Amino acid sequence: MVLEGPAANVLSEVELLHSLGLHPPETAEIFSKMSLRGKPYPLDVDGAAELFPSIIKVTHPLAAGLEQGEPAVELEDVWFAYEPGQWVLNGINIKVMKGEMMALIGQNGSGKTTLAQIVAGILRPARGIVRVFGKDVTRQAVMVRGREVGYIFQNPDYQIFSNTVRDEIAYGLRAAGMSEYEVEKQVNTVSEMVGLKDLLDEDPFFLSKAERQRTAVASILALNPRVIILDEPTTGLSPGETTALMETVNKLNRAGTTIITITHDMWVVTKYCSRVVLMADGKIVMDGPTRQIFSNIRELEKYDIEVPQVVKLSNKLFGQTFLTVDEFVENVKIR
Amino acid sequence: MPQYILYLDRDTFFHKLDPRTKLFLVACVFIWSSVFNHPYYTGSVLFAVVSLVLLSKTARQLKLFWFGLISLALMSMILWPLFRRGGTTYIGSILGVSFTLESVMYGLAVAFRLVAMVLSGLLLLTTTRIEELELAMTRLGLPYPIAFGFSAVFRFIPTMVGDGLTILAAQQARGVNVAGGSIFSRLRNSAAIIAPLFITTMRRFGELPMAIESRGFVPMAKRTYYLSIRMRAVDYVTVAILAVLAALSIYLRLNGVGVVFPDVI
Repeated sequence: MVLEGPAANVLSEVELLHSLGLHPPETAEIFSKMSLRGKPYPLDVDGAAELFPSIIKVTHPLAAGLEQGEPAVELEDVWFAYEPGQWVLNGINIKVMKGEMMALIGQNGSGKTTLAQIVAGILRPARGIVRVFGKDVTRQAVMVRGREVGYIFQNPDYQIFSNTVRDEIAYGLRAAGMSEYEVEKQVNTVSEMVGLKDLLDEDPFFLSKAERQRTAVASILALNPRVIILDEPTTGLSPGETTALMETVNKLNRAGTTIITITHDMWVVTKYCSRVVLMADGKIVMDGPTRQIFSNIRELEKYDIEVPQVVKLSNKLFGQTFLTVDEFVENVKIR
Repeated sequence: MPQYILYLDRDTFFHKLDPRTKLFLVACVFIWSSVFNHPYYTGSVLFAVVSLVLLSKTARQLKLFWFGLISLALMSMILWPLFRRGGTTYIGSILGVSFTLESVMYGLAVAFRLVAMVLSGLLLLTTTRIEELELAMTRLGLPYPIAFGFSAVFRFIPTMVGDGLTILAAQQARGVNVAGGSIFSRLRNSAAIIAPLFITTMRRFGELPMAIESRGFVPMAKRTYYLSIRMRAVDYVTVAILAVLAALSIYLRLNGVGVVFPDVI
């Protein structure tokens, strides 16, 4: 046992919690990083707002716009139903630009996974057009689409079947007819990128959930898709494991890969994604830059979206939207 | 996401039968198909089962299984004539292997038999709630842990079907060609479906005992049921007819009727 005591005391040990791969309350993190007062720190937004000093100077964070240029994925009036007449997607129109890192959020059953699986070619729309890099791929087979659009499932066990991590990553490459030399080279590059270098000869069955998730990610990355869809990749991962995974994804995004991620972890969205699309009842109800979307707290809460504490606190105190604790600390100075 | 639940609520004669009657019907289908090895007879059994599927309005629910059932039948039709040698009516030879009419008929009979058996089980699951089935088994005197084990397995079937389809999509999305290529590459690639399905199912089964024990599951405890099942007159009549037909089928077999090869099942 590392720590024991009342919740307020334990959750105020921000650095220790971070070192254990845990995600302390953002209010406590802000108070700790700004050295605002002694422990225990406030754990909720109202408590933090009440204790926050009144003499402050706030600078505006840079407003990031959306990616411009050509669309990587384009959906035009897309409809889909699992059962005849029961539409799960109702005329979706969306363009995901090249190099964008987009979050698809919404309640369970809102149509996020269905939309993502249509982009990946796993499902075919009843009506509408799907374009990937300008090409109409509405009727394209999923196996062909897989070369352009990689899909990482929530449950890594759906994808893993080889005896070693190395073979698992190499499978798609061998299936594509690559030479063993090229396969080995690509396996090494990808395993290095996702931190699996030391586990290449392990049996994936005996790895932890986070390691199996990384194996699934690596097996898709190896194929070098230009678009990657992550369907709730952080489910069942600790905040530390989530951060490690998302840092890898972020690295890929910076290298030019277009990312679409479905998640219920809003701190992941505010930290890593430049654009947010909110879905409800098979429709897109909000779409825009992350900061703009998260400035509509009331609207988001109508759809049961858990807005991060830092967003709520910055809006409450200054009427501004800071997306991460670091951004808050950088832009708010106590006089 | 779509749900893969086999039970389909319909207002048909078959749905209204007591689950014990339906279980007896499945047992009878097994008896009828096993005692005969002539395709006319096992074919008649299959015809009866297919008719019941149509009358119970559950055929659409079984759309996921048709391909598997047809594959099962084809495999049997092709393989059995190779292994069940014998017969006197020579019909030809392929690659040096000779075939008789009797061995081909036997292959056909076994194909009909297997499909009838599997289809009768599916008919039971599409027309009976799992809870009713569990209750029926305990009413028939099966110890509760065994009845619960059966019902747990039945409950897992839709989950496994859903998992299987998701795994298929996941593998296709990474370029695994399960449906195309030579028979050997298909067999090799089928490991990409079977291994994850096996592992996922094992993980689920591994968690099941913990989940039920943490909720105070005591296997031999005396239980009460919210559901109630009752044998009505129509059930007794149905069971009587089925029993007579089962006895008749055994009698016919003992007298050498309905067989291509008298000495084998």
